[in-house]
Amino acid sequence: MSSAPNPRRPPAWRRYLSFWGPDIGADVDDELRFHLEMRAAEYAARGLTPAAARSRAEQRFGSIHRAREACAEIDRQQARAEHHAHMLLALRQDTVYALRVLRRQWLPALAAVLCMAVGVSATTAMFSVADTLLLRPLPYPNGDRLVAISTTRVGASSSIGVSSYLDYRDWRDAQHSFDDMGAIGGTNFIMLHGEPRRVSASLVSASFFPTFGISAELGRVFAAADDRPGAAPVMVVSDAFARQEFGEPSRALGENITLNGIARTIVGVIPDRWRYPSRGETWLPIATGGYSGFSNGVDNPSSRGNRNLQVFGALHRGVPLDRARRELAAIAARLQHEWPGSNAQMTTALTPMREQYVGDIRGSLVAVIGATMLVLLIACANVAALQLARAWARTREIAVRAAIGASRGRIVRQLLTESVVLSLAGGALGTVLAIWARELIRRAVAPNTPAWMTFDIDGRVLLGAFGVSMLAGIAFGLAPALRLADLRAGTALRHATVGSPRSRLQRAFVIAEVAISIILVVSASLALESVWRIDRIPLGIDPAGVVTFEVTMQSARYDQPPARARLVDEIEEQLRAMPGVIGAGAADRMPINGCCSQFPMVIQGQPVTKGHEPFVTGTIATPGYFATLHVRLVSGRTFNASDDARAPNAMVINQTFADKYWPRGDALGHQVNTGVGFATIVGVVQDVKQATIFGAPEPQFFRPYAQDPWTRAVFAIRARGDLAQVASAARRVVRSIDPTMPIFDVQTLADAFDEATLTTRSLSRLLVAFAGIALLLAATGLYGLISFLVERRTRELGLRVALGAEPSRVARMVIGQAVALAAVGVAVGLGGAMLAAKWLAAALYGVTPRESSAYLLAVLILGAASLAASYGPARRASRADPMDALRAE
Amino acid sequence: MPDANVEVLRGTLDLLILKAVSWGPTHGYGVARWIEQATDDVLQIEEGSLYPALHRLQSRGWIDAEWGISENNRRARFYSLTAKGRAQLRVEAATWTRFAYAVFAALEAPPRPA
Repeated sequence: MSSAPNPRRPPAWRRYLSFWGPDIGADVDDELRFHLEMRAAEYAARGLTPAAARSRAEQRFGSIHRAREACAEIDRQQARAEHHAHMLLALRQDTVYALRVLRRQWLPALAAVLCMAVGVSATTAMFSVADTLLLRPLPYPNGDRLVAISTTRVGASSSIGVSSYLDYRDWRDAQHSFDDMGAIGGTNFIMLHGEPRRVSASLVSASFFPTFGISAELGRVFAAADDRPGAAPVMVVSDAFARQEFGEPSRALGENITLNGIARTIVGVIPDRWRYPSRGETWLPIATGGYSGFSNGVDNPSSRGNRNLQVFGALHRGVPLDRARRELAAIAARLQHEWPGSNAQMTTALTPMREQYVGDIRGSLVAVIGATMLVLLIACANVAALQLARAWARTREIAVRAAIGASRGRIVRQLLTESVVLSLAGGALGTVLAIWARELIRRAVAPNTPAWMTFDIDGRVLLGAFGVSMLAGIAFGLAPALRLADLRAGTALRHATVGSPRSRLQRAFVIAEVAISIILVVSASLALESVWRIDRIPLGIDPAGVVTFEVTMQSARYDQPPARARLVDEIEEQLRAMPGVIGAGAADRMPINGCCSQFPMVIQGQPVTKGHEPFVTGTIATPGYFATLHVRLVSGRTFNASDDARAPNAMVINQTFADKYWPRGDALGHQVNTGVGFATIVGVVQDVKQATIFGAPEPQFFRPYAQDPWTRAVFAIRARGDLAQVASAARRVVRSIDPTMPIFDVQTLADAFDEATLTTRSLSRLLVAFAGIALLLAATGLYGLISFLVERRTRELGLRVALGAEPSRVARMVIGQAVALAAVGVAVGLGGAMLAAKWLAAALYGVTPRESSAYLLAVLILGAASLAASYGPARRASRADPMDALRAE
Repeated sequence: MPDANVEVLRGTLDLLILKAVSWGPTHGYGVARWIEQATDDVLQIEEGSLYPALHRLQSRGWIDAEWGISENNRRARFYSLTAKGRAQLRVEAATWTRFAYAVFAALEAPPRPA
């Protein structure tokens, strides 16, 4: 074998040429020149002069130029083909070799694979969630054009969300921006088709289905004629409902079902994927569905203040949302003038339908995406650090390969192949983990998502995961590979023996890991802090040990208010008699998520302009309500049995109400009218979280159930022992009083509270998990680095011990090194943590970005982790034996 | 010199090259000379086509090329027949012989019966 001791690189252009192999043009020239010279020599031998011989030879040859080009072209093509074959072969060799190397160093390889798997699974799961929420189209044919239109108080930050039928009709008639507009309202219906049960029913305008682009899979959707007072009662059902009730959707068509005492004919079945709401079962026309807005007649202006319909519009193609916004705002302004009583201060808010799903969860979505990216980054940094450490351990092997002629490119490729193989293995494992992680993330980001949001891990998601792992492998394998390949053979061999670790890059990776961990730990402790504060929000009630259920008095038996009052009274009395029950009460809505009947209010002696009355939240409650829920009385009294229909109207208000209108504390005895005549304030109670637990308390009043018996009553039972048994006993009680009355929404108040705070809880769980993973990864990285450094310094440490250094001092030195590294990471990370905290605090309840306790906790945790990570190596270092150290060389 | 020679038929050149290198490694000039001598200078190949043909046969794997030193101590490219090339030579030689006999037979045939 010829040695090629050529230290100088050829000029750049020559290297470019040699990229395609040998210099083809020059070779062809040589070959042809040889031919011509031979031929000329032949002619010269026959007696021609050299010049004549030469020109004769050239003449004989023909076009030299053409031959040269043809030969060169053939050779170039061949070189290219060989090059490709060679590349493939090299790739296969590299992969086989990488696998062999990884098998030999299986522990660090496994660690790297696991790191990658964690990063990829988090990313994949996050991508599938984000894909569903942000990228995939809505299931409705007109999904991309659907806009939710809601009534809003001028200047209010959040919209009311619902609108009145008359407003909807006026908008629809006057607008030109939408193809169509539809209205939908939800109610509960009791269905008689076998066992009485409650079904989900929505009242819709005839234009509702066309607006969404929904057509029937069987039969038809509603026509305008179906949505007129006096029309034959018809209904549309979902495929799932038809299957459940009739076995086969086609058998449902034309069947009759009794809803709230009225027999209705099924005229159409719609596909399940187009249901709105997503778990809807039946749809009825507004005009024949018993819509409360019609109780005084459709055209009665009093109906205009009755806002309980959701309105949607399908935007004309090409009409910008802003134009529609301006148009509807103008229409709303006109209505303000025409109907000051109901529409003063009322305008419209338009939101694209997708925003309706994403809007509320944007904060936590951003937080989780950020956290996921950080976990991926830290995993990659760890893999890179591991690669570096592994590569350093192989310096000698690589030096030898370089010495026997492996090119720099070949070595880089070899090392890159290794990290890509690692990454792909990690990616494959991560994809499996992602299926589990996705559920975790989904619950954190969007606990109450509609049924069509399935968060599939489909081909695109898998492709994304594959791409991420490939990229990560290349990006984080490149630095170590280049670093190693740059070692000149001589230096590398010397490095391998003397051991002066140039581990700056590795240190940088570990510092980055610590910095990222700090961000995640701070975020997690912020989220935990938020959960802690949520658990301490004063609810105004004591939810533990309370179970609630709802009844609706719809049948003709309860048409008269006194009948309803009697029924509620009787149920409450029998509930109280059940064993283990401490108290029972009822109200039209229970606290925590009982949003929100609002009434215009007039206080006697405080005149207001008609139409400008303030709105307050009102609840109809029985005397037992306050005692059962432990609502604290501030002054006066709550209701008692004598506050019945014959007694003067009584009212209890909450603290906020009292403070707002009677700041001097003299609310008792004042007269307030909330639509059914003046009532006297008899008591003030502590604020109860009614609509949401997060919002500031709003003025709220209570009226005795006996004086205004609504058709809907929610009972609360406080009991000792198993609440599930209490609930089934309650069901038996209600059935014994009225066998046709179903009870529904059986729930403990504690569950309702958990449900209302689910997002924050899940988010904090997820962040804690991520922070834990990050800590573990960072600690592993730190441990790896310190071990590596100690190993590199075996000789030096051994010498120190030999020269009389105390082992404890050596240990301290090693630990000090780890802590110093961690400290740098912490310092770098705190800045990022503050930034993250600013974002996160916006999505969390009750925390500010400046919770010093969170930062302190994070610093302490990282400090502990770095101590733990360096303990093992420090012990090893302090036991360094000088003889071992010398022998190691 | 009188050019009483015959143009080499297209496709025949490859066959002649394979045959030329079948006697042992030789350079392009050697191939040309062998063809001239073997056919008593009847067949004079077009040298401008000889070299592209050599390169083409090489890229097909029928002949190998290697730089070496010529009989007069010059650097020259030597071609030799590969196993694949030998098989090809057998096939093409048989085909060509059959073809030549057929043409020859036609030329020697008695006149068409009336």
